[in-house]
Amino acid sequence: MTASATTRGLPRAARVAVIAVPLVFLAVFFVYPVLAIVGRGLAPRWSVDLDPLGEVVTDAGLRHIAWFTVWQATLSTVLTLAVGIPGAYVLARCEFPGRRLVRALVTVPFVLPTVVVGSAFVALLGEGGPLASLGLDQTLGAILVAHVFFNYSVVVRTVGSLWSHLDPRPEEAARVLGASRLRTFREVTLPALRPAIAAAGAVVFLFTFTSFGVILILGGPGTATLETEIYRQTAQFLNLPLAAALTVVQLVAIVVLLLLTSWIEGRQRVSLSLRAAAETVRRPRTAGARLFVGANLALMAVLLGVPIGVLVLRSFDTPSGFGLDFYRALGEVHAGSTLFVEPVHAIANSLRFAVAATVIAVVVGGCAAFALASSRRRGLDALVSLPLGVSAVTVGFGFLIALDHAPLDFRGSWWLVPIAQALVAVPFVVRVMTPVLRAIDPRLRDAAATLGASPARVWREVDLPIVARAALVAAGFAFAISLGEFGATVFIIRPDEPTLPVLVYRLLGQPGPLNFGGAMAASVILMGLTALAILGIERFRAGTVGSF
Amino acid sequence: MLQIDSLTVTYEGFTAVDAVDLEIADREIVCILGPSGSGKSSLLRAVAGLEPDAGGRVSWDGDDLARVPAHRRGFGLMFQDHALFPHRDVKGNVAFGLRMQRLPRAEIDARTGDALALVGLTGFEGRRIRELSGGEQQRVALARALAAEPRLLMLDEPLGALDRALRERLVAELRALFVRLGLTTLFVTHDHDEAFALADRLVVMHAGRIEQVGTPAAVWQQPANEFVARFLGWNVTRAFTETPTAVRPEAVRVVEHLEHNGAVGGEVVARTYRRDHFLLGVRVDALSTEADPVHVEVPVDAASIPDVGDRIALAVDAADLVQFD
Repeated sequence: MTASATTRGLPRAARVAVIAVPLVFLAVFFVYPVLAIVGRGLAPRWSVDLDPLGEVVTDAGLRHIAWFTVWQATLSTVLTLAVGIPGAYVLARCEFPGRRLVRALVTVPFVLPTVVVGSAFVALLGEGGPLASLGLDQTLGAILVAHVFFNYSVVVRTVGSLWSHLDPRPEEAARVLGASRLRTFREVTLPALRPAIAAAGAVVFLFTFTSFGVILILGGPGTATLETEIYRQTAQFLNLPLAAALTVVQLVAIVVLLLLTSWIEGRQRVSLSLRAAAETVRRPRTAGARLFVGANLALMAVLLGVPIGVLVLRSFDTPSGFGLDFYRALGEVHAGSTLFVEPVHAIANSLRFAVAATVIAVVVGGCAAFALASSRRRGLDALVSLPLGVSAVTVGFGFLIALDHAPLDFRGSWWLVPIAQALVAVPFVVRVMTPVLRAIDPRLRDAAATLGASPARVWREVDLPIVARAALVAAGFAFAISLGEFGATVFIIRPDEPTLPVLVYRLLGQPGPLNFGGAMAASVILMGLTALAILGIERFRAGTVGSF
Repeated sequence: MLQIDSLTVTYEGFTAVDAVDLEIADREIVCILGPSGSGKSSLLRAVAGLEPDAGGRVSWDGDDLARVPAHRRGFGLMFQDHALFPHRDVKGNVAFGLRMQRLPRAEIDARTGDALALVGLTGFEGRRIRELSGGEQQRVALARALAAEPRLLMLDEPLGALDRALRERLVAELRALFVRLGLTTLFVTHDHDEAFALADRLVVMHAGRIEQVGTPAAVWQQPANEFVARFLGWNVTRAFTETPTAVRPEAVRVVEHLEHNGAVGGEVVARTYRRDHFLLGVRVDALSTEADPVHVEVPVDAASIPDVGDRIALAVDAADLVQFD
């Protein structure tokens, strides 16, 4: 029986295109640039020269950077898990008024652009902020808090979705057999949750290991990571061989990390008896349970609500009282600014690039999803997921050194930016669409055939309507990601054509309250546009569509 | 008339349907009865044209259907668990086959309405599939298959997902409906009650092969072999004869004395409650050894119910014994 005949009704040319489009796209815009980086890193002048790589290994400063990258990612992961697991329990197992709303709100930070998260914590912890007295600005502490803020929902969603389906009866059995609550958690619940915790931890570690925007904005002199150093060597010192060598180190680290992750996930596979979520949720009955739920909700409100609240407030808090001055100032180029154009153009640029990137990402990712759903092409699966793991900075840097000279001289082409953004978005598109395509019940196609639908008609009547809905959801994600994309964009954007995230970064780097207020205002606008895209997704989201 | 000649379906080396021959006359209701995994569903799928690699011959009124794809056969198939289109409402599901026939919109609306009325779901046109109960989904699936007016209607365990009471009611309704519409019907089930209540003719299948074909009464009175007898719940035992013999449990009587003509003695080793009687498991003395106990199942009514451990005598009429070759 052909369980996955998604492409069966298509003409041969279309079936070839479905595989060729993503392969060619990824070959030209991902594999080739990455190979170019490796070439530059190992053989800068067409002959093998390991000096830059040697410098990375021997230079104490660069060694410190590599060590700090691992250290901050480890701390971020441990902290996020520690804060997120109780939160996952509360949202998965405890019934309280407004539970659905809280669950939706908790996921908001994850879809926020990294520069918005960065500027929100600058607003909170930086000069003039309500928590400036803590002295966390430009320290590891600020980065860690921002990473917890950003990745909290990864833990809550990944661990929580398993927890909400976990059969509570083994726990009840342990209690009846005399185990305390804590003992029951340690000996029954935790082992069952381990695969989800491992998966969430791996994702958080990967995200924080390659974290760029947050660290660039929040960090100080002592908090450079591989990602920020690649950017600094490229943009400030024009030391491309060293940047390439750093990228090679980063690539190796990520490949090792991805292999380790899939090895751990393979080992963690346990068979569990799962229940419907509605059967496992309980209203907290004891005072202690209510206190636990209340404390977690309060923590979520403070951790997630306060930075965004302060950001919005400070965008209106002008030297001359509350008002729209900062927003108005975005419409003019003022004296002493290093910006070439009115900041307001950044909004139009962002929207234009994001629309183009969305179209590209949905076409490429959609084709890849079709190819993946039709059969198990593990190589293609790994290939399309790679840009996600390999980091946006690598993509941007690769574009910079690979696509600006023969044979592929695209220097100054405006469409390089949307293509880079699309590369970052493609893995998400594939992740949203493939499960939907795979999940189309093959008997629906059989049913349509017995009712008189030809193969082409079956595709149009059964597959297409389901695919279209998934494509709309994927498009929403791709749009939100492209809109907030910073790591790749900042490498290749033309100075006179900044996007909103690039504008925010530049404004934060300039002195004066007007620039700072402009950064706040631009961040709020970017946040608003992202929220609109996500609200659009929720409208089309039918029950369970993919992950993330 | 449907004619099936040495139909064979294999999946990666496993033979699901093994050289099956079968004929179904117009307006006949044929029921395929067999345990799960016996190849019933594969047979239906092959007839519908959904197993393109099937071997053998399927023909309709003498025309070989080998080169006719599923969508041109004009056969309706009601799937196990219904396979309703989740992205369409009730009307969209029922009208699907009519749209494929490119009928005018007014006729589609009228026939959709008729089909829904037939299954008692008038007014359900705009409902979403997810909002329907299991019984309602079953009716929509039936309406979808019926609306297209197939020349052969096939149903694959259509009542499987429903609870007992609902099934019993629907079986009677279905038979009346098929007869009234004059449909040629091929019905698959693993449930004896369903099969016996619905069928003009029964086909008992096992491991991809047909074990017996006949009217429900004929099959019940004279199982063709040991498999069919056991599957129908008969005792197949050496208790009363030298070689294994089949006897309906109801034909075995508990008698007063061993002196009763042909009676055998035994010990009650199990007693289970069945809806309107108790069923005794009896270990028959004469033929049993430790290694090879001979058991008989005997239903008893409320008047006298022996306990486990009691010794009783059993008798049968010779006419009730069925011997196989």
